[in-house]
Amino acid sequence: MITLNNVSFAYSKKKEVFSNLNLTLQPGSIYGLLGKNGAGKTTLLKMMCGLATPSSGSCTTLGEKAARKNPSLMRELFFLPEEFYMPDMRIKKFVSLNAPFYPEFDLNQFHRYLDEFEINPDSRLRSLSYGEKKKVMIGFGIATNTKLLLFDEPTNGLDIPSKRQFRRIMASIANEDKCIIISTHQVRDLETLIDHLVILHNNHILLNENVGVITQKLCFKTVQTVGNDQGIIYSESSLKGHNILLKNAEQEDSQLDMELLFNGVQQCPEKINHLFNLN
Amino acid sequence: MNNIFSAKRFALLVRKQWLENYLLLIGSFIVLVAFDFFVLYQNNDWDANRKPSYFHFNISAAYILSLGVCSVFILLTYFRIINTHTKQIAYYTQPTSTLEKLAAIFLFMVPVMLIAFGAALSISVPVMHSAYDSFYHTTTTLFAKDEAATMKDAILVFLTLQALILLGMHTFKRYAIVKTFIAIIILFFLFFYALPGVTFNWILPIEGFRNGSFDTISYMRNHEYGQMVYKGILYLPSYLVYVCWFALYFKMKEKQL
Repeated sequence: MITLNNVSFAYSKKKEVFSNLNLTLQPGSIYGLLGKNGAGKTTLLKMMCGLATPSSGSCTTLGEKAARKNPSLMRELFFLPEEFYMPDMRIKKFVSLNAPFYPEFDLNQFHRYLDEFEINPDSRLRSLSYGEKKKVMIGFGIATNTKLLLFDEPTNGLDIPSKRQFRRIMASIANEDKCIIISTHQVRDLETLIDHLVILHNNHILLNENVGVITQKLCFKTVQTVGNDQGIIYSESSLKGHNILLKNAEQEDSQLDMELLFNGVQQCPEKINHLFNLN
Repeated sequence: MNNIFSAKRFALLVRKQWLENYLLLIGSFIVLVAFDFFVLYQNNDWDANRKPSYFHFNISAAYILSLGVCSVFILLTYFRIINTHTKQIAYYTQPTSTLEKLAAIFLFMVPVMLIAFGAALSISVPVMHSAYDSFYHTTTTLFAKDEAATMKDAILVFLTLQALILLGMHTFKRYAIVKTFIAIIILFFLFFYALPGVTFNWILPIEGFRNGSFDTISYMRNHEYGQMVYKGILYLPSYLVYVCWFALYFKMKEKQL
C-alpha cells in the first residue's frame, strides 16, 4: 500500500530528517508511528500524502507517486494533522462542501460518530472546543471510508471518554483493505489498538514489527528487584518496582508495554536491532 | 480516472471556495462601489461658481484606483484560503488536481475580478456622471481617446502585478511580501531600464556609434530596426502575465509543506 524506497529527506543541508529510509506498509493493519520530537513522524506522514517530496528515493502510496498529489490518490486517503484548519461554518455545511470530494463518504456513518462523540451536528465549528473540533475531523475522516487514514496525534486534546470512543471506532473500521497509520506520543491511549509498530530514531527506522512478533520475542515484566539476568535488555524504575524488557526466551505471554518498549529501543538500539534482525 | 482536469471536481472546488468566501467577496464589492463613488466625487470639480468653457467628468482616477483596490481585495480573499500552514494542508490535500486549483484561482482572480470591477464602475459612474451633468447643466462625454488607451493598458499592468504577487507568494517561504516586492522592482528595472539599455548600447550599436558615442534616442527614432526592437522590448512585460500563471502551475504542483 505504501512503499518508501531509499528515501532521503532534509529541510535544509544541516537538518537531515531521513537517510536511505526503506519502509513498506500493508493494508489490514493499524500502524503506530513512534519517535521522539523531531524524529520525522509528521514528515513521514506528509511524505505519504505528497506534502513532502523525498530529495532522493521514491515514495509510492496506493501504487502512485505520492508527490504528484493526483486526485485519484488524494480521494483515497485522509490526512488529519495535529493542528488542522476548520472554517467558520456549521458542521452540516462543512460536510456538504467537503464530502463530495470523497466518493465513499457515508453521511449516516458520520452522524453516528458525532452521536457517539456527543456532538450536535447543527453546531457551529467556531463554537466548538479544540477537542470537539478534533472529534468532528476524526469522524469526518473515518466516514470518508478512504483506503488510507493518516492521523497525526489524534488523541491530543481528547478527553478520557473520547479516547476510549476513538479506540472503539478505530477498532470497528479496521479491515483487510484499510491501512491506518497513527503517529503518537500518547502510547498509553493507543496501546490496545495498534497492531504494528514503527519506531523512528536518528533518521532511521529502529523497529518495524508486528505487535504479535514483538511480544513473541520480548517479554514485558514488572519486578521488585533487577537481577543479573542476561536476557534483560532494558529496565526502568517505577512506583511498583522495576519495569523490565527482556528477551522472551521462555516464550511467556506478556502484555505489550509500548512506553517501556519505546524507551528500551531508544536506550539500547543495538540490542533490539540484533534481536529483531537476527532471530 | 482523469487526473489532469475534471469539470465536476472543478465545479465542486469553485462552489466550495465561493461558499466559504462569498460574504467577504460581497462585502468587498460593496466597499468597492462606495470607494468608486468617493473617488469620483474627489477627482471631479464640484464648484457651482465655476464657469469654464470645457467641462470634463474625470473617471481615470476612479478606474485606476478601483482596479488596484479590486486586485487587492481578490488577492486578500485568496490569501485567506492559504495564509496559514494548516489551511495549506487542507488546501493541498483536497482531492483536486493542480490544474483545477489553478483554474479556480484564475477564475476568481481574472474574470470574477474584472466583472466585479466593471459592475462597480457601472453602478457608480452613471450615477456620478449624471449628477455632474445636472450640477453644471451640461452634457459631457465619458472617455477621451487617450484615456481609453491608458485604461486598457492599466488592466494588463494590474493583472501582471497580481500574477507576480501570486507567484511570489508561492515561491518565497519567508518574508514573501518583502521578497515579492523586491522582485517586482528588479523586474521593473530589468524590463524598462536594463534590457533596453543593454540592447541598444551593447547588442545593437551596429550603425549607432557617432564619434565614439552611441545616441540611443536618435537610433530609436531614426532607424526602423531600432524602433522595432524598442517596441518589442516594451511588449515583453505584457507577456509576463502568461509566464507567471504558467510558472504558478509548477510552483503549486511542487508545493511542499
